[in-house]
Amino acid sequence: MVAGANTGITDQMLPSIVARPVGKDAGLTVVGTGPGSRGPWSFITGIPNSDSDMIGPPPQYLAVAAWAA
Amino acid sequence: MVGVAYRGKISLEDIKVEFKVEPIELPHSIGFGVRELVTLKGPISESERVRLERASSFCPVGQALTKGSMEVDDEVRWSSGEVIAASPVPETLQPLEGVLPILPHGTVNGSYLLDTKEYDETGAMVHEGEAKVSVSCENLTHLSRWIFLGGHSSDGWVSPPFPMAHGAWAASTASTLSRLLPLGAEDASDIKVELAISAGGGVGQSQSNAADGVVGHRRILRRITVPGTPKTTPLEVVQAALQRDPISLAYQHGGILLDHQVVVE
Repeated sequence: MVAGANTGITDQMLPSIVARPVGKDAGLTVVGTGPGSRGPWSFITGIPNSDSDMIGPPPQYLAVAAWAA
Repeated sequence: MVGVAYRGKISLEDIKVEFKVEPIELPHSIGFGVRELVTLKGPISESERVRLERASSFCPVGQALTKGSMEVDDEVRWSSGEVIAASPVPETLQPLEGVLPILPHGTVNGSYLLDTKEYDETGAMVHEGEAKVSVSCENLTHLSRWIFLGGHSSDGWVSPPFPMAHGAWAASTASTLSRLLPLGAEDASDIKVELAISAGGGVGQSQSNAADGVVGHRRILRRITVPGTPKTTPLEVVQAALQRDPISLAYQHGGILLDHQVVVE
């Protein structure tokens, strides 16, 4: 493995899906971000925790929802 | 399944699916499993039912989650600018210790939206249409519910199922890393997960695989950006954390299906 700036195998890739944490207990995912692709479709997911209700389903549930669709 | 039924001239009039989702609290396991019940409506013979049963677990999303059909190339980037190809993972690498939240019990119910099927001028079906999916799970203070739409339509109002599943995988990866990485003073909000999906064979190939019970392996690039430097957040730690991610485990090894029934009503 070689480390270096901007030498990644994915430099040429055009990501079509991006996910980031939002705060401590949630995440935002955008599907269909690439140029020319359909979308974008945004999904909020939650992380089970003992402080607050989740604002979206955990990612596992979103995956099963995709299976159901 | 609607596409497979159409191609196979099976008189599928309607379909619904229910998944019961349950936590599995075993060390270093995927952490959850599902029990699937598919209900078909129409004059469907036993051989046709068996064919549709096979299709339900060999659709692209079903394959990814139950048969580990995804081949993942990872790359890790640090906010300091360094980049390292992170696949394959050393065989001796142990999953990272740390606590991940237990998944609450719940259900996922899918209903087919019959009038969203699309036909061309000759009457041939060109898009299978969409499904409404109701998600219900225990939350901290109450039972919570969410609605999603997914499927195939020409206007692209809703996400196709496979990209939606990949979105869930990206979300799962980001959540797991935010929980497990020892980031110190770094901000977990700087974690980013990006996916690039190689072109598959399209809907037709997916439907053929589903009908024939063929596992179609798919290649996907996952770029993970983490805060800090390779010294503050070592590659091995990131890789070890990924070994705990529920959907990453399912995508590469399968195994979330606990029970599977397809019945004709």
